[in-house]
Amino acid sequence: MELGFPWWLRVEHFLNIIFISFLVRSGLEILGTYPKLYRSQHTVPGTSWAQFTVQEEAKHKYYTVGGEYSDYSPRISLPGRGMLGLGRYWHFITVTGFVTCWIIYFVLLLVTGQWRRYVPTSWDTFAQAGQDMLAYLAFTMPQPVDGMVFNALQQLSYGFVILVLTPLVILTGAFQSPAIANHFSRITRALGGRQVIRSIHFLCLVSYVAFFVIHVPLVFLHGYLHETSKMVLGHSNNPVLGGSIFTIGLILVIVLHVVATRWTLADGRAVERLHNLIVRPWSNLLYKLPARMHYDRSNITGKDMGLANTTQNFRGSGRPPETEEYLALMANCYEDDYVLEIGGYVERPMTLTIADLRELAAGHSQTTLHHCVQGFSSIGRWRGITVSDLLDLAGPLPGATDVVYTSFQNMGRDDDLYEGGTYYVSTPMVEARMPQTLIAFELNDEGEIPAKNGGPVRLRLETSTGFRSLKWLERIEVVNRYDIILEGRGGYFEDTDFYDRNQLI
Amino acid sequence: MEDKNSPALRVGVDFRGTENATQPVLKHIKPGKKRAPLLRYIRINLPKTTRLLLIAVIAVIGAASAAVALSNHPPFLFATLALWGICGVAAVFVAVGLLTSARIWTWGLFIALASLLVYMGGLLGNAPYVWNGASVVSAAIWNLTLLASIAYMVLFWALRYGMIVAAPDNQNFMD
Repeated sequence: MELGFPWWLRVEHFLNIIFISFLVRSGLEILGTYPKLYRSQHTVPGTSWAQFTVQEEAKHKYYTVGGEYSDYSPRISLPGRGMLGLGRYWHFITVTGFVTCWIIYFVLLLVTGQWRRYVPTSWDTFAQAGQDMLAYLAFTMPQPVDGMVFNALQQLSYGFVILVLTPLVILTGAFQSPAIANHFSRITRALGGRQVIRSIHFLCLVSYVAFFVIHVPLVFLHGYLHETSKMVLGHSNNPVLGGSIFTIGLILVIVLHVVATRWTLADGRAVERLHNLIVRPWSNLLYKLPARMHYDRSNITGKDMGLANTTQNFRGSGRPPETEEYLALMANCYEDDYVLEIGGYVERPMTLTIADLRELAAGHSQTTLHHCVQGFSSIGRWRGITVSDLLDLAGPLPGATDVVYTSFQNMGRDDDLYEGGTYYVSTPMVEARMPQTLIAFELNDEGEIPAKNGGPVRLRLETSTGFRSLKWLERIEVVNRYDIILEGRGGYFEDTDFYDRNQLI
Repeated sequence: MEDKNSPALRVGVDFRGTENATQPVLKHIKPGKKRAPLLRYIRINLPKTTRLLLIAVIAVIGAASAAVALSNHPPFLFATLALWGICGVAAVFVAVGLLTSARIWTWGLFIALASLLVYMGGLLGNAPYVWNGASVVSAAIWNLTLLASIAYMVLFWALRYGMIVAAPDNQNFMD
């Protein structure tokens, strides 16, 4: 068959220039907020295999992950300046287009027989690719195989990028999602764990960049106008026209990046609306994937540090409340003084002490992987009672739709990185009712939860990124709408920054 | 140690009296600038892999030099002698690199520079290019001496710049 350059292939080629460049830039924004890559899920300080920051953290003082942002330039990352939430929005918006495009492209390759352009049908292709490599090294131009549109080395390279690298980056990207990673927990572990997957995802980015670094000069060496004309017109009969159109297209891509960056920095809420329009229709489907992790006691973070008190090593990511009320609770070891209030849209409002919670929990615990939105992970064994059980006790009234959790923490008062008021999150009822959504009062079977990890009582929301697992829990309120609370976006970071309440990805 | 409750002091990390003791510190940012030069942001800590990579690049230079010396297309007069010299020194470099933990990277730079010098000599002489009558394989091997030399120099620069680190050294990340 005549392979040629069908129109859909040319469209896909151009769209991928846009998608991949946006994915790389927004991916760097996400990387920059926790610019460290690890092999181990425990992300023990000092053990990263790569760092992309010039910042060295305080050596003798507790520091939070919120301070580990690296401020990348908007010329490099999208949108730059450590705007993780907006970087995530762009990443997910672009992912939607990129994956859709790849699936359509893959189907078209199969049904049209164009897969032959990428998949070698003979072992000779590999030998020929070796010959082609030698030809390039000899500073000569290898010729296409008979009936093919490019040489064997190009065939294997393009085949690798489209049929191996792209599925790999999609797979490892999907497993960055706490909902997917924690629902398919065994696959997460089989792939090497959260941080190995994150590292592979990053190496995929490096591979795309490396491909472009080699691909673009070779396009020039083969003849810029001649080659780009094929990607515009489908032939090289009019290379000046085709090459000119392609060049204009590339300029438009650059303009698109500039406009997107400036627009994002100027009006983040508009990007948020675009994200909600494009991403939520599929990200909401992930509510069908409850977390079901089954780590062992031996998997918990801390073991590889060799310290006696392992809870010291479950990463902290916030500053404990600095109020006399909370300090007094801590001084009295919480046991007699702490009271969890459950109220709102319920039949039986109640207050529970830690002793009550312990009795109700009846020894229930879960050992789970924590997914920080920035990127760190830790494994902890949490003892507690499921929110679902607590809701059954309180009896939500008909029409109750959401559960709001309020913390002792006041962000503006307790953490100089942030402004604003009381920290709170809300969950839709479906997330609150998930089997691993837990009100925890003990970490790693060693007694109370340390202050830095949210003691005395905290929420564990295992399908979402870490900041939604509210720490220093004071009150639970069942409501019939969350959009009338404060800014109406469903949580502190949702209100004050650019994060979707749906943090399943 | 004075403070047995300090995990940092317990493992020998003592920054007391410095700004970094209680504050994060940004490095490599010049006065008046907001950010450090781009490449300062890249620090890879794979010492053994990097050591093997540096040795492998020199091994490629040595092997390619030997292959060119064995071919009947000397790039210039007495080039065979120079190529065998590079090959011999490269062999010693590889052996020392694999069998010891010596920091031999500057020696490797000399090998790469010598190989580059021979290549430049070939440009003035009768280098085994296809257009000079050499086979594709001979030309590819000849050009490999150039590409591997450049690769080593880039790696050496990255090593000195702090982007990568080779065993027995380490980035000594603490965060």
